[in-house]
Amino acid sequence: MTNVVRATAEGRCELRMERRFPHPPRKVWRALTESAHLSRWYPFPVRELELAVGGTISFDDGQGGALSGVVTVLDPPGVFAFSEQDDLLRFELHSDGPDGCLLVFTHVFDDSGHSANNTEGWQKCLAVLGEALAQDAEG
Amino acid sequence: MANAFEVLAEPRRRQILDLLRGGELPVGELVHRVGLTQPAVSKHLRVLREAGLVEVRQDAQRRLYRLRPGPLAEIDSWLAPYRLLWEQGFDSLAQHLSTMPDEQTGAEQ
Repeated sequence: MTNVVRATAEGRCELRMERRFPHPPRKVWRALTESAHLSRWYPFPVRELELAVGGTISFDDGQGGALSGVVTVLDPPGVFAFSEQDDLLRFELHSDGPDGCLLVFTHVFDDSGHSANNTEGWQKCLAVLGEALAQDAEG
Repeated sequence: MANAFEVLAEPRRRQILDLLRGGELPVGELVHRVGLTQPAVSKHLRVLREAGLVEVRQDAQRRLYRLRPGPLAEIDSWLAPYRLLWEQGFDSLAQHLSTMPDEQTGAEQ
């Protein structure tokens, strides 16, 4: 799996991860978009998933609350994206061989929740960007 | 001081940081590797220095640039929880996929 972090044009942080699965995109698509399957592996159990662009998606935060958002992209079996509170999650599936699939995942989030002030915040973002560069260099 | 993202939005500056990951380099070597004029490279280096990403020291006639370790040292503590969260998620996904039928069945719904 490769990981890359970069700053988005809006000044947010984007974590990008890629992972291959020995399963066809259509099958992985179901694991991403059907509540029962999604709950099996997603960090939070699904509370509600209205599978349509603009539809509600929410997860149980494990503390009695919900992490809610809306479906922003639904393009089977290629792209599934949704918001979760202020974060953006995007899953892209690409065919990889006859029965394989490459998942390209991005998580866009703000640094603000993790830092006491702006200076510290962007120092950390810089740190992450530095790591992205490191990975580029290694790759 | 420029915004961090403005600093790093410029691809040549990212390239310079990338080159410095291999260790300290004199300006002349950066000029050679980046393929810009010396004034252009010096300008980028000044921006990077002001942003606290690189530092410079004088070595006889040469000015040697290197990455500042401070910001880079914070990487793991900040990013690790996110990475771990998703790596575990995708491990679970891989495991779940291995038990899922390849084709959709009526029983699944």
